[in-house]
Amino acid sequence: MNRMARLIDITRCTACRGCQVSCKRWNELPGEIGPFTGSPQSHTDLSPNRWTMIKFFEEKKDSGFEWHFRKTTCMHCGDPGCVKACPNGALVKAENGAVRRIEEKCIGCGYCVKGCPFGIPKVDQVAKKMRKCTFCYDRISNGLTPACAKTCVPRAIVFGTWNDMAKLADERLLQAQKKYPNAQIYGKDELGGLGVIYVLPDNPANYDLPVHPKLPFSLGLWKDVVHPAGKVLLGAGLAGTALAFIVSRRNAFGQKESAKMEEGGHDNE
Amino acid sequence: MLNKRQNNPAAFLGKEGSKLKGDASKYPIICSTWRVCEHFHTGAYSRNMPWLAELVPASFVEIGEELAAEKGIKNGEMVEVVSARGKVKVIAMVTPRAHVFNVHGKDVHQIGMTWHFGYQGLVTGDIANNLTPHVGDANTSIPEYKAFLVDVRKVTI
Repeated sequence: MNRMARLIDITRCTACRGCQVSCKRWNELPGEIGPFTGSPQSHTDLSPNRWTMIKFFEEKKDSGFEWHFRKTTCMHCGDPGCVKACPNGALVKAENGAVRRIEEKCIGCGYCVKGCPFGIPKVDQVAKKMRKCTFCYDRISNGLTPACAKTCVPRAIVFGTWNDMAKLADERLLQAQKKYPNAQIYGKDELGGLGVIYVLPDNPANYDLPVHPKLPFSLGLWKDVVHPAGKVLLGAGLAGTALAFIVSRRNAFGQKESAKMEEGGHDNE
Repeated sequence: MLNKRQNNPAAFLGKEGSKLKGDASKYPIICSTWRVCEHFHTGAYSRNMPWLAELVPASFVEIGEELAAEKGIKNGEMVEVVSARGKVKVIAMVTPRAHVFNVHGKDVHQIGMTWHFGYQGLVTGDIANNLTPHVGDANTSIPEYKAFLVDVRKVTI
């Protein structure tokens, strides 16, 4: 199966927040009525029961006032830090690009939270489970579009194969650049190509996105160097032990033989 | 200008009290009520719907930065909006989106507030129609809830 992706065109989003509601509806997540945040933004961040939300950005520029809305969600990275960080194999990268979580294996340790450069995974401390966007794996593996893309009225969220979305992003960028000269694409080259390709009106830093997302250095060191080295060392240790066992047994057998020889040859049993 | 008459003489007027007219000297700010797309009408359905109620959890009033600085109002604070007909307590949303009008060389501020709230439901708030004039169009009696005079004050809880 082809790698799937979502294109999120921020220049088109009207902040109707249909995606936020349809996500909760499809995944049967409860509403969380929080305090008023001082802006039309509903909450300050994602939570175990809120896998996507619209963040509001008011920008005062020389050219005038601009108001932009970014859908925050799991990026389903090409090189996912969470999958790398998970000690229990509870996170897997599916063939269609979704970063899936295996409920039974998740122990809620929160290593994925540290491993994610976007701060997406949230741990439910009561259930001891991490929860995040599933890319509607149940829908997309049955030929449907994710709930958020399905509901999006201005077609700011488009779902398709990664290559198609990358092409569409180029088209949308040309449209966006007419109005926003600084418009740019985010997610094509970052972390092995993100599963979410954004069309941004300006610099990613303005929309709470890391400009050059990187996996934590310690994670790479641990998983790419220490772990394989540890495995090699463990293997070497085991091999050494086996070898020592064989050698010592041989020596012991040899000694027994020579002792018998001294006594006067084999006894034929 | 051409005509001294400001209002349609045939306009539909509500009962005493609800049609009282405020004076610009006492109520210098223009207020408008509007909807948010998350709530439907008076919110009777949507305020009881957790997924929608969480999106707009409180009634708020959008106040421009200039007016907020003048009145010492900070974002997220409780304010009281008063008109000749009533008053409501709502949360202030200080934003650069609200503009200042220049009317006859005078700076006039505009504020805008949601009106979907009431006293029942998962999320509640004061009723904005306590502020609005109960005056309707002469032909259709469509009410005038989009422009009326109010004053804003900071309240300490």
